[in-house]
Amino acid sequence: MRAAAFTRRGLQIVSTQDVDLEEGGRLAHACAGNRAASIVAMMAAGLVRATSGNVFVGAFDPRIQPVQVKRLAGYVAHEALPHEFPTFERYIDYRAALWRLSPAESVVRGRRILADLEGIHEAFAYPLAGALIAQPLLLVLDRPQAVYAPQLLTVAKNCAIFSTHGSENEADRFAEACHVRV
Amino acid sequence: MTHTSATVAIVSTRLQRQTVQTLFVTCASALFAALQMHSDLATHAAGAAFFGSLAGIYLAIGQRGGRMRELDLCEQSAPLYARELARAGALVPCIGATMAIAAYWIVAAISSGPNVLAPAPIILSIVCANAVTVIALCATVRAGFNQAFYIVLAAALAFTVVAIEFPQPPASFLLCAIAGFIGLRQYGEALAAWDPIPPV
Repeated sequence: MRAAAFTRRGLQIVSTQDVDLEEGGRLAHACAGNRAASIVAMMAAGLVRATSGNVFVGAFDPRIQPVQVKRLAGYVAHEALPHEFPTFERYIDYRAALWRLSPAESVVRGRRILADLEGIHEAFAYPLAGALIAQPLLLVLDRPQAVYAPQLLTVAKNCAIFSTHGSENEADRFAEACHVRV
Repeated sequence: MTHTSATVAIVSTRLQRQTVQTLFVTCASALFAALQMHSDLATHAAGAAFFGSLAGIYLAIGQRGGRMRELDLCEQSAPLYARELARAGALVPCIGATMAIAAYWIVAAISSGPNVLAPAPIILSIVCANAVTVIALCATVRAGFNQAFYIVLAAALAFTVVAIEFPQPPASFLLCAIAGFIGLRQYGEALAAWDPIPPV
C-alpha cells in the first residue's frame, strides 16, 4: 500500500497507510479503530478500493484487476460466520464453487486444515479453512485473536500473512504470539 | 469448474437463507388472491402484477446487510466478476417473486374459476415483477437519496405497467423488458463499484 486512504462522503475513514509485505512475509498492522482495521483488511484483499493512493497485491491493482487480486488473497472476516451451513463439507462445497475449485479435493484439503486448527472455535476455524482451500499467496486477517496465532502459523505454511488490528496493543499482542513484525 | 457452479452455489445458499421471507410472500400473495374472489381477469391481472412487484421489492431489499452480510463478504472476496455476482444475486429475489405470482394465479384459478387464467396477464405479471425486482436490487448497493430513488423507481414501474396493462399489453412487455435489461446492467456496474465497508 502506498499512501492508501479511504474516504466516504468527504469523511476520511482510513488515514494514509503505507504498508510493504514481501512474499511469505508476516505483518501485524495497527489501525486507528476497529472500523479502519476492517477496511484496511478489505483493501488488502481487493474487496474495497482505496479512494487515494495505491494498493498492489502481487503485480495487480484491485481497482483495475480485482479478480486477479482475489485469486491471490484469502480474506478472513472478523465477524463470526453464523451456522447457516449444516456441515463443514457443505460450507467448503460453497467456497469451492465460488473459487471454481474441485469440490472433492477442496473438502479433503479443508478437513486437513481443520484438523490442524484443533482448539480454535469453529466460527473462526471454518472461514480460515475456507480461505485456505484456494491456496492463496496472501492471507488477510481482519482483527484475528492472538490466542489462535500458533495454529494459524501452522496452517498458513509459506503463505504471507497480513493482519489488521484496532489498536497498537492488539497488534503487539498478535505479533508477539506470532513472532512477526508490527 | 464452470461459471454455473458459482451461480448455483450463490442462488441455492441465498434462497436457503431467505426461505422464511420467500414462503411469507408466497403465502401472503395466495391470501391476497383469495381475498379477490369472484373478481374479473383485469382485476386479477393488476393484482398479480402489483403484488408480485411488492414481493420482489421486499425480497430484493433483503439481499444485502443483516444476516446476508457474511454471504456478501464471501461472495465479494471470491474471484468472480461483478456481472456474474449480479446475475446470480438477481436470480434469488426473482425466483421468490415468481413463486409469489405462481401462488397468486393458482389461488385465483381455484377461487375465481379457470376463466381468469389467460397467458398474457400471467406472463406479463411475471415479467413486471422481475423487472421491478431488478430495479429494486440497484437500491441495495446504494445509500441515502439514491437508495430511496431506486425503490421509488421500482414502484413507479409497477404502477405504470398496471396502468397500461390492458390498453397496451405489448407496450407493457416492452417497458418491462427495457427496464429489466437496464436495471440488471446498472446493478452489475453498481456492484463492481460497491465497497462492502462495515456499518458504523
